[in-house]
Amino acid sequence: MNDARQIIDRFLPEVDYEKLSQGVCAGFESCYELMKSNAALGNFQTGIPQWSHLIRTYVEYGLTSASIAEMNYEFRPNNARNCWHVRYHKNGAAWTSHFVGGANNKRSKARKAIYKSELANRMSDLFLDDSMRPDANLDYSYFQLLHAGYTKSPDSITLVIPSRDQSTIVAATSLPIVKPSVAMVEEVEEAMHIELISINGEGQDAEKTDSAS
Amino acid sequence: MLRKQIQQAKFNKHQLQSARKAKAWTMTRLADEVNLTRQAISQYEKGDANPSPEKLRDIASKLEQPLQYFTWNKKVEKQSPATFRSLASSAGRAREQAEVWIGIFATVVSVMQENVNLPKVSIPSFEIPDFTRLSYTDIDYMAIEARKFFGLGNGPISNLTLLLENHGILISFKKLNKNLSGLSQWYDGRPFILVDRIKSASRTRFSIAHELGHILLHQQLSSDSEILDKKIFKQIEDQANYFASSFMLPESALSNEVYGIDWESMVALKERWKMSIGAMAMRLNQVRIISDSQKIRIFRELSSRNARIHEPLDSSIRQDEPRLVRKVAELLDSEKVLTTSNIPDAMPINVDLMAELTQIPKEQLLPQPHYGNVISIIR
Repeated sequence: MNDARQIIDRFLPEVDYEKLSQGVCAGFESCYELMKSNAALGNFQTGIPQWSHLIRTYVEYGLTSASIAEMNYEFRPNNARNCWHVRYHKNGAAWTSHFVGGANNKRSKARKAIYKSELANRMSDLFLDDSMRPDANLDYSYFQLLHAGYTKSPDSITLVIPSRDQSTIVAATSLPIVKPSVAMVEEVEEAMHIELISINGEGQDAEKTDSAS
Repeated sequence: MLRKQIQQAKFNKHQLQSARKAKAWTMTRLADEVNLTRQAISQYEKGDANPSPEKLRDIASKLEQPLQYFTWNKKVEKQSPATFRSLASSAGRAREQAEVWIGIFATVVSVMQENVNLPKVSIPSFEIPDFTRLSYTDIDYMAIEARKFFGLGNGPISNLTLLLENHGILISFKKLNKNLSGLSQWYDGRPFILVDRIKSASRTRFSIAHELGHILLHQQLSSDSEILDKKIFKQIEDQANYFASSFMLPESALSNEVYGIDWESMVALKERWKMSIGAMAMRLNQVRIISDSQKIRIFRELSSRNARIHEPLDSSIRQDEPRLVRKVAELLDSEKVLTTSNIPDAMPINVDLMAELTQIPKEQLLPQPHYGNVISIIR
């Protein structure tokens, strides 16, 4: 399988891969916190499977909030118009995000959907397969961001480029799991050296009061 | 008795001008208040004539300074023009007033230094042949080097005021004119910063970092007229703002940490970094972590929440209050060097003003009442 980085690198700088990963991780963390804090979801037979529905929204929220420079997004309905998805854009690339299950039952690609094929059919990238030949009228490239896992942290995050008919994956690349990292707070301790000057000039050493703690 | 006192201690024309400017009064206003002509006040301030003792008492009363203020001869050497934050929109008198206040603060410190050695001034020194040619890349480098010099990593600074006081920079918080955020100036080889106490803690931190930028980058500024040149003023303000952003919000930390620019994420960032959401949005855009449109989105969100002036957490993030001068005052008081009994002679300044500038409790500056023998009266 081709490495999707070769294609996607044309549109996204290195830093954006981390930001995408952080956006997904933020979604997982928030969804996990919701499930954990809500007994009807996290501790109830019919609630637990809701993860697969909720995580989609949480990740989409995480990604739309991600600080990816120049990234825009829009909300698009599916073909039946009973569901909304987020479509992200940057530098002529478009992508969607999809939950593909857990570590043990992970799908290798997103479910086939008309709204996705609409994007896939307009793809302009160069691939060997005739079905992937560029079309002079195409205006952007399409890829999918797949995420998997049922815990606080995703099991995997993958960028894939589907074939136009969505029957197969033409190229893929795994993203590292990058949780938002924070720098340590620089604690400032009092260290003011104040020195009393000898008053009578009798040659005494100045009294020292070091208030450093 | 009064005439004798004033004759013995020579009238100081500079102190009259200083006291007037400290009130932000024009000569005309002062003349009106004390039933004199503007020309008379002008003559006093030029040293062409001295006010009569009675008239000086009247002036002192109106300007709310002790009589000795006008004969006080303590000198501090001003070594740089004052650099103001928000000068463009601030009135000239407000600037003069703030400059007098920082001068008084420096004078008080100078009196204390006759008895106490303060922390040595220990700040990074940069070779800057011409500050007008500094690029943002240069300033980023200097901000990183300054952090290294102060022994900091790239995380949020817990207490900026204390950090700078530890390194010998004197800081005072005082209510300033609404158009001024702060100013800095060098006196006797030491940098002084005066910032507006009314602003929120996060904005005050930015103001202090901004003034630190002036202190480190603009030591070449030689005259007030240079600062009043609009082009130079705009440039040094821009540089000081950029330095403040870069110093307080290092790119390396932000790029790892900022993953969301939704409202909750920005508020969480503010809580951690103690910088205003507006300042963070500007910085994130400067280092291209967010795009122009994302920056605009943050500012729109601030506006829609009516939070451009009063942001969330403004009331809960505590000010990093200065403590160095108060600490020195406590030491001098405990050692009976400068006590309530001799402070009025050593530093004849309006007590309220001095308490505000130095953060010394007012009770410590006021002479304690002496009651003598108490005789009980029995009805």
